[in-house]
Amino acid sequence: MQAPLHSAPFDKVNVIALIVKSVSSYRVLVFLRFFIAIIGGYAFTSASTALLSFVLPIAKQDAVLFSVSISILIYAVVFIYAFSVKSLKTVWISILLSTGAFIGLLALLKGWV
Amino acid sequence: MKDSFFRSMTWLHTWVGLIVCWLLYLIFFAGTLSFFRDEITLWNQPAIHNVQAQTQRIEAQKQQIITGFDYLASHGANSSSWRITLPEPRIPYLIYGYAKPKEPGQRRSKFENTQLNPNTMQELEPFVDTKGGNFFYRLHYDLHYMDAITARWIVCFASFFMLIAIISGVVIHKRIFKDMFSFRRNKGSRTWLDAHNLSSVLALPFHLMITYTGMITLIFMLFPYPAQTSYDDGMRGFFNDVTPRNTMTDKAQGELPMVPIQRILDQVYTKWPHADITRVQVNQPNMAASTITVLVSAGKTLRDQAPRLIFSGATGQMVAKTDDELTSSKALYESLNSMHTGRLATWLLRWLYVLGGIAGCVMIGSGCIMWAKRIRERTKNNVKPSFGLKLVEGLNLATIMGLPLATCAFFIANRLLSPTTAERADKEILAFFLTWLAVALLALIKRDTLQWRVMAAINAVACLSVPVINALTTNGNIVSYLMHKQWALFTFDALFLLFSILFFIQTEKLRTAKNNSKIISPSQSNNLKRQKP
Repeated sequence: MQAPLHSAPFDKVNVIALIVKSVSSYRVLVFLRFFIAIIGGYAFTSASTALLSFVLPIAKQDAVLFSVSISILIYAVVFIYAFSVKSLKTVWISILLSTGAFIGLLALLKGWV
Repeated sequence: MKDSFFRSMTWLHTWVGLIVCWLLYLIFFAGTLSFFRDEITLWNQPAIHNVQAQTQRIEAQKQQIITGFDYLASHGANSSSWRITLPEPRIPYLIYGYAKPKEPGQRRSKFENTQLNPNTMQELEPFVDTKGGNFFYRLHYDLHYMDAITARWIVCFASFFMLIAIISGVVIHKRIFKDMFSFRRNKGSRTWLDAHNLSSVLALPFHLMITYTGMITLIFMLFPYPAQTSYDDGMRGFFNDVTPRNTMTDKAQGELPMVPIQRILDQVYTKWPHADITRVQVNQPNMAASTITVLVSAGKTLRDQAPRLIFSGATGQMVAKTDDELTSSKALYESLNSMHTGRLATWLLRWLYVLGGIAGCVMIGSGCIMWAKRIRERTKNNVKPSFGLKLVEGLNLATIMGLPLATCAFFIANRLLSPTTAERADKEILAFFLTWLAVALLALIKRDTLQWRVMAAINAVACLSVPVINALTTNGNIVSYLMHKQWALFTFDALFLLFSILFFIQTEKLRTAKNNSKIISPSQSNNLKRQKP
């Protein structure tokens, strides 16, 4: 008789399965979705408006006032986006990448690096 | 998130709305009252009840300022700052004030104020210690009994969720026009859905505008990053850039007498012949670095920062001023702010603002009641209601019935507390929160229809008692206000009578509703299921 298939890597498979199961549990998924929408959206908005106010070719105070005036609009759009896309992975990657790109660009322009 | 955009948005609308609805109700409630901030302050302060509005208000301003400078020169000669606050259409009295020496631990020095009747130039009776309409104004975004900055973050968070709820609500609303005209009575949660739709759709532009602009008023706390990246010295640099400041004589040392105020007013009236001056501020009077700031009303323009001219007190020269023409970015920012505060509103627009605010309260209130009703209707009779359902029902009762009662308690306390009570203003506020707490505790015990009925009855009596106690404790009453055309006070009392009647009607309705709610026909519950996508 063959040993049951799962007997050898039993512990390993079980742990992975447990993690996958818990991460894909409904509550965790909802939490991750809210997290990226609220925190990720905030970071995206902060980075994009900071970059926008820096690159706009108008007087400094006008650039700042314009950027903050549309910031809530940007935040709301990102938030709705985070809940409208089906794949949570896509949401996380797209928001993190774009936010990173804005910060990187800003760092280059400001000469932080 | 769900299979379709529509379903995701439905889910989002429900949960985002439910998480913050009670806090939002408080924000909308206090915000709506804040549109009557000056009127509430007037009612709370019997000393100014009989100050007649001036017939020639703007014409009298020049003389009031000149008299004020004489008064302050003799009373506040050694003060660091003077302030003359002129009567406005909604604030009928005149204030001459000078800063008292700063006591240790104070961030700003307190002002010694003299309030005058502008018609007779007689000093008014001593004011009672009350926050008046400012209490609701502050409650609206600073909450209470907590750090103001923390409170503002919480309020902003709730407002943002409100914005998300509005956007997702529009998305999931397929028959926006049809629903404007449908209201089905006595159909359980269906009726609440209709009420929710009606109040949301009718005032939708208002809800969107007030939520968005509300966050804009606190935007530099929420998103300081644009200013921080654009200016080397961050927020300070930005604010220095946008606020007119005296940079010409601010370094001057020593004492120097000020030029006659007449010379400064002449320049103001040359620039703005019909200026409606609201305030004149003097910093470091009789010093070489003194400045005199003249603020005028922005009138009906969409400007939140009051137009102002700043003069050097020693030379009489203009040293700074606000822009006459706003750049488009500034105009955008200023118009968003001024739309929220509604300072430009004359009485018709102000009432529209208030009606919009009431629609907002109905929208939020009906939304959270509907959630509880739906879950209730779906729960079978033999199943025990979940903790979540009980919590939502309790919070609904505590918020929707507690806030009006607490407001009544605030005004009753204002009339019943003796004027000499120590920390009187704080005790009025304590009355507000204690009443609210009492309702919340009652809501913990029971949340059924009977409890709602009892609360509605108590609210009706409380609303009725506000004008009655007012009539018993002051010289005026609702009839005399009508006779003497004191419209602000009359409207205040009349509104309480109106709400008293509405609460009485609700008490009666709830008596009959109790019988109806038990008979939900199968066809109705089918409708409910179909409604939920």
